Amino acid sequence: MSAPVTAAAERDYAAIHEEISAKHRLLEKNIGGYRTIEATNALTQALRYFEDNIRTERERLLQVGQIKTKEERAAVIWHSECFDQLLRLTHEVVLRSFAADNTDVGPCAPICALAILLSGHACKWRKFSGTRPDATSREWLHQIYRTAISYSVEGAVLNVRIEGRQFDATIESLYVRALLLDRFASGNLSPTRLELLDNWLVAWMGALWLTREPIAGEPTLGINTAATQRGFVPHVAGDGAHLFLSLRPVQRQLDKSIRQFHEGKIFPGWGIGGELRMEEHVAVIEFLERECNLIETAPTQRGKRVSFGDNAIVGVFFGFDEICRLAFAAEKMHTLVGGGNEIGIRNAIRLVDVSEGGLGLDMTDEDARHVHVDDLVAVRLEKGRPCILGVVVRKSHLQLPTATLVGVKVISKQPVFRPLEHVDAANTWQPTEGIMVVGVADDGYADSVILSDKTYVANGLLSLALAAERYTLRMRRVRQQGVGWRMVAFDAELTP
Amino acid sequence: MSQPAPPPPRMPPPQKVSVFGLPWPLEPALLRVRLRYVSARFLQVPEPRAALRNTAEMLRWAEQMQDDGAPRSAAELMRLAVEEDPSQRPLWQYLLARAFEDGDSSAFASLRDIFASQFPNDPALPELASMVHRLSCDDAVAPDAWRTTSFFHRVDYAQRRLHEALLEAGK
Repeated sequence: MSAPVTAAAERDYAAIHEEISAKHRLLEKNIGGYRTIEATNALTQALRYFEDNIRTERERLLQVGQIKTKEERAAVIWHSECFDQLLRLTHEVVLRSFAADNTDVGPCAPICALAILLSGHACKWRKFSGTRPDATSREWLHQIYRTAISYSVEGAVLNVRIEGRQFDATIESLYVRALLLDRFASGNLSPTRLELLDNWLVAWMGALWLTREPIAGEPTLGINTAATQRGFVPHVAGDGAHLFLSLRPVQRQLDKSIRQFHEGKIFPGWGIGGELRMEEHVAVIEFLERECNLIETAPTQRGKRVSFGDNAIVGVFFGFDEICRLAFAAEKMHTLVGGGNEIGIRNAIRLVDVSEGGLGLDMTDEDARHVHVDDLVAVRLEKGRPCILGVVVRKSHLQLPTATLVGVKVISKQPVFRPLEHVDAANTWQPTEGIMVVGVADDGYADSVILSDKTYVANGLLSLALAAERYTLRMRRVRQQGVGWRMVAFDAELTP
Repeated sequence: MSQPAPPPPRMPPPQKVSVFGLPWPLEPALLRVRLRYVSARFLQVPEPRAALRNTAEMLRWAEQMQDDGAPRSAAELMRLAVEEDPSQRPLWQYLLARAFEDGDSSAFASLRDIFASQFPNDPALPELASMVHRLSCDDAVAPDAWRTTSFFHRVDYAQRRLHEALLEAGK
């Protein structure tokens, strides 16, 4: 954990911010008169100056992890805006310089590489600052890459500066890094972990290539550079993707990185990782493993997926008791009116972003105060569809207006609510309720039951009727838990 | 007066390596990071050096991790354990079965070779050689004794049936 910032240091930071903002304003004013190569140099120098001068402050903000004070929040927003501004200027230069009639290939690769590098940085910092996802920047990213393809420079090897270090990279590998960051930034990673993950992606860039055909039998992410609203998604035949990233090279890189830890080395050996606790590195490994699992299983889940737009109003139910009482009730099925009244939630809840493994809810600060990490929630994304079951994993401030992003990790997209019986202290069967969660293993040993914490007894018995059979479930270890609920592994037997 | 013959060049001591080619034993500073990593990654292993040598415990944790949908983590823990104590034959078997189920022929062949060097007269070697060939077929099926679930000795009919019923109910 970093030391608290003194008032003098805050004043220094403010002076640096002012100086950098002034430089960027001047650059914005003059850049229209620059030739492409001059503009590229000016933007590269501006980025370098910006990064060199904010390094200390940036590392402090990232190591704090959770942004708490007004000053910290203002600083993160300023960083994000600077990256956005540099990206916008670079994008303008790309568009201006590489109109259809321009045949001068020379300056194309450096400016495209810079723009795509900045797209990755900007995407990451928008997440840090809690700025709502911006569809325009993804559109720009694709547009810049299409420009690079049209000039056949996507494979050109360039020397780029990241974290004060020089790396050989192609525009393609920078594009893959930006797309992966875009995908992972919509998950539930904290800023520190997202930065650590970015360091890993940069270290892996040499092994991340796009192919023009999906590799048969391998889980693959696909991208359609003409579909401006879409980033990397798990590929299924006929989805319109025309460039592909096989998951295997990513997994191989992950395995190699894990081996570094086995050898007693902190991967990648530079960046903020050396200062962080081992738990942060482990959290990134677990996040990537979960993402890989989701991508591998996504094609088989496709038929069960629901479609919905970002910023849609959704129905949300809070806590085990409310979920059992309302989320599965027939009268609530065809409305997006959620619950939460009993705990003091008053306003409609908006969906901010969503990925296969998680979703973000935009709540007013006042409402979000009643929601805590590890709370169980059920979210109805569409009328007439069953709720998705999840657990709150983080809360972070969104940029204005006063709102909080509540990050939810999805536990199950098809929870099965069933009345159960359990053996009470007097050794008699009593009715209770449980939510069955289907796990990934075909043999059923990854399945769980979610119960009230009052019902759970280690090695206790439950009885469940399903599909003309009655099962006896012996409760085993707790896989996950929060206030009022436990998610429990079980051994099943058919009851004669 | 003749000069004395120069001393013969001193050969560096042979580099010891672990079964997976890691310099072994690790230097103390590296070992500290490794052990810290193991206890952060596998919360059930607070005392890694002792726990990684306990074969029965390792198999129990592999079972739990597999149940929790983390077979890759289970395989990683088994690798760490056999690196620590390569005589733990059941853990090698688990790793081989895992590699077969993943359909990773190069990992399987490499593991089989290391296993053969550790247990040169093991009766399972001929069967493992035939499994290497089977892996080249598209629909390779592991023999019953070489399935990861077979290490856990459990009857799974009711569990599987309930799983299928739950999948159906969730549609």
